[in-house]
Amino acid sequence: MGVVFWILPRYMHGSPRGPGWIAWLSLGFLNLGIWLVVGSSAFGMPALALGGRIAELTGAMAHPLGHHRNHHPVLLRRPGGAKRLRLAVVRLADDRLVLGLEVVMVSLAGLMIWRLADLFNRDGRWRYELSVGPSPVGETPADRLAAQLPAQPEAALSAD
Amino acid sequence: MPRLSVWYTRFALLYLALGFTLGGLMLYNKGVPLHPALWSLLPAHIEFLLMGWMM
Repeated sequence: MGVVFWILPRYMHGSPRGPGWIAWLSLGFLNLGIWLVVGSSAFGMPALALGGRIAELTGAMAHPLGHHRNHHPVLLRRPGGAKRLRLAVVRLADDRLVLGLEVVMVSLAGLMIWRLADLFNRDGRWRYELSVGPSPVGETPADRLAAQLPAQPEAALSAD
Repeated sequence: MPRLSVWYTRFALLYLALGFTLGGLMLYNKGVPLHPALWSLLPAHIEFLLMGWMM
């Protein structure tokens, strides 16, 4: 997000990157959210995790909202663009387009991170090792999972 | 580079270092058991690297 703030084209009028305080607020909310989520896992307080996710979402959404007017109007950069449409209309349409795209991109990034975190939290090897603890010396994770499965009757194994 | 981007990058590198440290600890604990409670660092490891470093 910091690189996005730096590298996107600057607005030609007024403050080059829009109101900076919203971007700083975004940084604060994002960091607050991360530490709230980490604190919730450390102290076993699920309510903190909910607050942390809300803070992270607020930070992620505030970022594009704060600087969505930074971009040059895309349509104006085309040859003759300003002549075909009135400047205000072009700028308004461009702002809405960029804002919409940024909201979609942030939402997709959030969805991806949520799915990845969900993958790690599913029942399986990670969950088992978290609940049981480290492996004894010489025992592989496959051995431990096999020990968890119900014993197969010998008849079923030799049926084929 | 704007000051805000500098701070974003600093925080990202800090979270990268924290996440890798926790991950390294858990990996080491897997080979040479140190303490069972080290596995409880996994959520923090995920959070630091996914949200702190990537975002």
